[in-house]
Amino acid sequence: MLLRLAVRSLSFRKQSVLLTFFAIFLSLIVLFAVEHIRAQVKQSFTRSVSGVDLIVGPRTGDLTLLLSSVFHRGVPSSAMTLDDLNAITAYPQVTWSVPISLGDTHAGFTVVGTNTDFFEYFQTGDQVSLSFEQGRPFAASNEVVIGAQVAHALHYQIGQSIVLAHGLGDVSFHHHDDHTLFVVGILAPTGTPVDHALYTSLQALAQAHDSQPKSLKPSIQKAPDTHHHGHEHDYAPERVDVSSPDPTKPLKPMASSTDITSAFLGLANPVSVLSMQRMINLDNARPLSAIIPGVTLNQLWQILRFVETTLQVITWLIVLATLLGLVTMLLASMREREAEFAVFRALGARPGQLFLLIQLEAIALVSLAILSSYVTLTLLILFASTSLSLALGVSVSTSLFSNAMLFNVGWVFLSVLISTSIPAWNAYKSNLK
Amino acid sequence: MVTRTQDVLNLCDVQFGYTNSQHQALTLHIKQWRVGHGESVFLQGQSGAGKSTLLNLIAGTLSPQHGSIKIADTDITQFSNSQRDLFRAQHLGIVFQQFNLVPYLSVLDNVLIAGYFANNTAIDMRKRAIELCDNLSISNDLLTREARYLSIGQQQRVAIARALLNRPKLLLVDEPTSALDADATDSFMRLLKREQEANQCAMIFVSHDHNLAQHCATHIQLSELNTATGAY
Repeated sequence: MLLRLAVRSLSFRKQSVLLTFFAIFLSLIVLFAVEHIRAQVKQSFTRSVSGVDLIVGPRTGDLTLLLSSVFHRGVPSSAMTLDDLNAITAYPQVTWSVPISLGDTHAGFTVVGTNTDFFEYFQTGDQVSLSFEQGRPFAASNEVVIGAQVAHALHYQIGQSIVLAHGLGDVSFHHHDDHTLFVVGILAPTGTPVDHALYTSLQALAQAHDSQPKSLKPSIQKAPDTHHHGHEHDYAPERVDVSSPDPTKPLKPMASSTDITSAFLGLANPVSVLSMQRMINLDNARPLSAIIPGVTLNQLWQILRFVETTLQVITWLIVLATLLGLVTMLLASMREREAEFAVFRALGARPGQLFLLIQLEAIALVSLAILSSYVTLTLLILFASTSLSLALGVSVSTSLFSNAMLFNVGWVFLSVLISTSIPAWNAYKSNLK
Repeated sequence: MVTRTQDVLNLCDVQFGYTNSQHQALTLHIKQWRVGHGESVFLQGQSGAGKSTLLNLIAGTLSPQHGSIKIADTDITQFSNSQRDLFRAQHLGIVFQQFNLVPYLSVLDNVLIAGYFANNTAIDMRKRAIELCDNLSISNDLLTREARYLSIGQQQRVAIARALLNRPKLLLVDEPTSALDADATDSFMRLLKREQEANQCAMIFVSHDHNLAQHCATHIQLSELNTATGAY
């Protein structure tokens, strides 16, 4: 009965109630959207790498090593060799190792030199292995596998021929023009830096660097032409059948003196991670560093923490301002409702029941706003998820529901109960006359 | 041991004064006042004579500093605030000057809400509400209409129906006709009197208008009743 009273009373004051409803509705959309995207970015960030127990590189800072090996940002000033990696892989605790060699780009995307073990062992998210959207791993020294965003942004398909550029930038003055690679595989999207990179063999990189460029004439890397989709046959380079690897370009074993940037290690027993890390870091014969990806990822996220906090504070300020609007609306209605409360009191309504009536009105309004904003936001994300993923570089889940979401809803309700206790108290004190 | 008396209301040495920071003046002091079962009392008082105070005391929304107020042999001054609220809901029917109804509820809901606050779980509440409305010349098609669309006269009649819903022992009626014209006042008074008698409840009818006194058996002046000297 009290709830029905509350609902009838709200619909009686449609105009101010509707305006207040929209204010709450909008601020909740902001709250839920910001929280959702924040959580998604954080999740995607902290899950950029998994399944890797240690990352090894030349002796350098933890963050430098992580940034270069996982995020492809910057390269350590020194290098390590395959020989160093072989020595570490020889430890009985190590079950697998994958070399990483950086330094080349293609159209602004990082080219990662590695071996095919990478596709087998590297994982993202909750121990999700990489999978191929199309094609297969590289098997010859003229083959390359590309990440999902690379394929999407450059409109590349299987069989596409590409040329690498030396250096880490959009604009490079030195092209390995005479060494052409063919795309043989496209990775499925992961929402991590993997999507933004190309993967090829160490052999392919070595050949590109060994072959002398015919001319050192600077040339500017041409951005892919995206304006002529309809005329692709005019511009797209000839595609080659890559269903089987070229037998004349086998992946010969690499010399142990080959430089690599870093390496991913997998251990037999996770318990040995700390001792192994200590052993590598303290080995002065081979000056290397080892980091535990999860630990260093968290350190990195801590640095970005203030952005997260600022966003949260701003969002909650918006919500609180709106709830103050709700309180104002209820307070403004108190005077015109004095007669109504006097009637309720005369009929024997306990002051607590009137207090509850006002709070019920607020709760009913806010519940409706929560429900509508939840549905609206889910639909919005559903429609915009592709462009959101492109803009943010992370895959945005369409499911808003999470513990954090429940937690936020709880806080909203608590704030409503506290703030509306002011008008509710006015109702509580009302008397017959 | 409660001894049954003929009194539906019995005030004994009731003293009440509003407290403010400067001084405390006694607003109301009633040595003795009784209203019998089924009695109808016309209580005349000028504004400022303590009418509202007295009604609030009987209704239990104010509590006297001294004395006892017995309604149907129950001393409500011994009750807690919420006990008094429930007692009021169950044993008193109250009709104000105007604004008796909740504007956004239907006529029927306005009547039934009295049962809700009285925790009245009788199964025939709805039937009784419709019957009461019918007796008070409120046609059936008005029952589902929101109260704010009714005329003042109709609203005041609905207010009587609601006051009677829980079969109260005592009706408190405060200037119910002040917003009505002469014709409407006359028919209102006849309906009120008829229903009061039909429901066998006592009534205290408060008004400054002595023309209405003819409808009540007992007449009393508040100024005779109230011996407090402190003006308020």
